Amino acid sequence: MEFTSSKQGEYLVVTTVGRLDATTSHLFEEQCDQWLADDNTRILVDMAGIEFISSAGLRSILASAKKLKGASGDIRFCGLSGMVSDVFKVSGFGTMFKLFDTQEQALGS
Amino acid sequence: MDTLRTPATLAQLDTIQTFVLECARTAKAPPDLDGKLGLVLEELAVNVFNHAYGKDEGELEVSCDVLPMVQGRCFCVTLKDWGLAFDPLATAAPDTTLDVEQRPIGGLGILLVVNMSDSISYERQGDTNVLRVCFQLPE
Repeated sequence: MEFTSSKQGEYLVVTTVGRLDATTSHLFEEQCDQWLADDNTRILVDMAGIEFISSAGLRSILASAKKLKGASGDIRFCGLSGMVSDVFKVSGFGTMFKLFDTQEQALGS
Repeated sequence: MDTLRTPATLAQLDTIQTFVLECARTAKAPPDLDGKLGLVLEELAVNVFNHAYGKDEGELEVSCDVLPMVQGRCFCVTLKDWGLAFDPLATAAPDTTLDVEQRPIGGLGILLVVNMSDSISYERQGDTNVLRVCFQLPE
């Protein structure tokens, strides 16, 4: 999976492309650790380019969210669609996290 | 019925996914089922890779077939391993209402499998674990 990030106000906006599965999800957690080490505690993840997520992906997201919470930070998501949206809904991640349709809405709230 | 038998390691996940998706095409399953199929397979196969054989090596057999139902047909995937007896359906469902701090990490795989498939069953047959998961095919 690939990541591109840019600072917008107090949020680091991260665009992700690929799959968050058993073989790739550790990359997300490693990236999050790096962003946190660079003092980015507020992160918006644009998931529009994520075509697939499994429980391994959810695990890496929750582990990262716990670290960000511990640093008084925040992680929110936008652009979920298809099975990614279904997986967030079934797992309760859809209510545990703040979800938005677009980056603009996520940054404006 | 098509069958694939591989070493039970994460390195085989891609091969297993490709095999099942090809079977799904042959069964004329709609492409929009692919996401659910991929998810269910990953969850069940990774469970076997991580837990069935402890630190020993073992194998996983995956079979696909189309079965008639009362109404229409379903595409079924059967996973068989020769590991420790384990019924993943007997595990307690996680509390999905907890917040980030309270939520334990893990335990969501089977919840996703149950929700994304139309039926699932487990049987201990001799020295094997047999899990069958089915998806209704459109008329």
